[in-house]
Amino acid sequence: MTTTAATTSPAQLATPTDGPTADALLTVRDLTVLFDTPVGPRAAVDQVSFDVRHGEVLGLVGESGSGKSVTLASIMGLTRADTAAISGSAVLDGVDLISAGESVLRGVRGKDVGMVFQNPMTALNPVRSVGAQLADAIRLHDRRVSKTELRERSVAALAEVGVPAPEMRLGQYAHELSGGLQQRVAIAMALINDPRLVIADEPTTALDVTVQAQVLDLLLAARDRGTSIVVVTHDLGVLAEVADRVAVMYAGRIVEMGPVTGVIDRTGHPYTAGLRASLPRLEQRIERLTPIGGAPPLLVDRPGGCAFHPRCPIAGEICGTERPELIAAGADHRSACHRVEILRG
Amino acid sequence: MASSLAPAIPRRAAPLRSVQDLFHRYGAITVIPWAVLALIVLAAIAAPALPFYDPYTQNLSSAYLSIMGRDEAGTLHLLGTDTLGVDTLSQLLLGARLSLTIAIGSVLVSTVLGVALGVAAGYLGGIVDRIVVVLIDVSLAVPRVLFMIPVVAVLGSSLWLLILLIGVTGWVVFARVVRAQVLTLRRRDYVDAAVMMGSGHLAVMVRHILPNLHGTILVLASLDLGAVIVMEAGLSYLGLGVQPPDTSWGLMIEQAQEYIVTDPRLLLVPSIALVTLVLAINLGTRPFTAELRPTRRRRGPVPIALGA
Repeated sequence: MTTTAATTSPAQLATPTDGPTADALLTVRDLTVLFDTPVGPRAAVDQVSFDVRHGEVLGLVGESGSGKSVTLASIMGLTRADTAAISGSAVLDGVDLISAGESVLRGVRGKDVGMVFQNPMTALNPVRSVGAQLADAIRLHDRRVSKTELRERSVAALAEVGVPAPEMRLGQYAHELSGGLQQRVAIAMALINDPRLVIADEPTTALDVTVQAQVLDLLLAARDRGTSIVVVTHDLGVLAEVADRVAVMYAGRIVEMGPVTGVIDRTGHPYTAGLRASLPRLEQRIERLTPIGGAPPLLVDRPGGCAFHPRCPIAGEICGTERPELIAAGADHRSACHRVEILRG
Repeated sequence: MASSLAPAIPRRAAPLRSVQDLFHRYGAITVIPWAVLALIVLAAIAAPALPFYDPYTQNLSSAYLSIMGRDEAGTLHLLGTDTLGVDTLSQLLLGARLSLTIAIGSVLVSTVLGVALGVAAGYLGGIVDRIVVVLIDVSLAVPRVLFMIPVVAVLGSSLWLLILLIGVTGWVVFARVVRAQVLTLRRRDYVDAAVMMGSGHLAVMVRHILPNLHGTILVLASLDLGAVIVMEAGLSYLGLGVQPPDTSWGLMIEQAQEYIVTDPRLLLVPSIALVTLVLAINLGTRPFTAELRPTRRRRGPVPIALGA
């Protein structure tokens, strides 16, 4: 084996160090998820590597179909084994969740990792009371809790996320609560066993703007207590507000990753630049927003080279033939683009 | 409690305070069948305590008594007597007891079996689903009665065998509908959420899928109840159901058909009873089955569709 950079595997290039970084809670390496399609297996997630560090908020951005949700679902074992082939590793506390059995995963879910879903109306069971669902969440990981303790912990969990009159809520059903309250209850459920990692899948998309800010504050409060958080979103505004670091996904790969200020101010990928340009701005009047031309590629029809090159305003010849790897583009900042220099002028 | 701060608690339906309220909310087309049902069930339960109840004693000298007829001893027979002098009203009540027992028992068997298989197939998918779907197709291809005839011929008819046979052959309706609904339920976020909390498959099925099926199950069971009563009558009519000296409405109809010209009363009494009971069940359960009809969402009297 030669030791030149050209033959180093993509996985090694994709991470700053070969092993898990010292302060990482979750270390994902080379995660690949293949789905069966009519034209053969295709990678919805393609050799994705990232870390979630202790006590940070990591934002995962990308268009619909970029592989954000599949990445997280695969890590938690929620994709069905008969339709997806998953390889790579996702190590949480020395346990590889990808190769772990169902019983191990069952112990991790809800205990070490909590999850907040996009739409609180559908994430709560409509025919079971709030109290019953909170009690489930506690008892699944601690069978010997007494009834009074169940009640006390449930009330405390609701009070912590700012639910008014928590005692009364235990007997209520999801449809009796407003959207904001539903999401608070869902967050209380995710936090009730003091997980070390919370995955929030577009937690504010279904909420109106004033409630969005309150829900984001709850997540930040959890972060301040030491919980690591992964926020999936396609809203750069939300990210700028809460995230410490950002990973941008396109066509199943991470194309840029770095501190939120670095990614927004010194953008290292034309796709991220496109996302930024398509946002409305308060401080200047713009007649038309600038969309990214074209549409995200289909899973069965991904372009060769850089998957973004057909839509890229600065694509060169190399972009259509050679796939760019994630390489350093600043402090703690990496980007997978052949033409970073051109982008940054 | 500071009610001004608490979000509005949705109004629940106003309590029913009188019979008029009941009529107002559900309409006569529903309340009257409930009354008829209650009467039939009460009569069936209380029958042995009634003074005239005597469905087994034959008295040839007082056979063929007509409605309100009195026998030699001066005893009044409200609905007359049959060819062997047995009191027809007593027979009708005995028939109601057996018909209702068989119907409720077999619907319970069908429900448990069909819901269990439907939930397992819909939720687990894969090989379990494929096996259940094949079983459903096979069951649909074999007529229920055709399956029952050889079994009864070999084992002989009994109450428990009838409940079991009708129940076991009736699971398909439940399994098909429940499976289809579970297929959509298991894609709901709260099922993923439950898995993400660390629930196992059994816990998800029992705590999250099953409670969401209660409406469907109630509807299917109420529809099946009427069908099963007719089915038992049909079996008894064929001589495969309840055996003399016990009787059921189907058996009474079968025994009466030779006398259709000479004494139509013997045919009319059990036939009218059968039609009344099944109609009462079907009409009385319409408010529940309405949930399955997309054309109707509002509360109130249920309009009856006439014609096809």
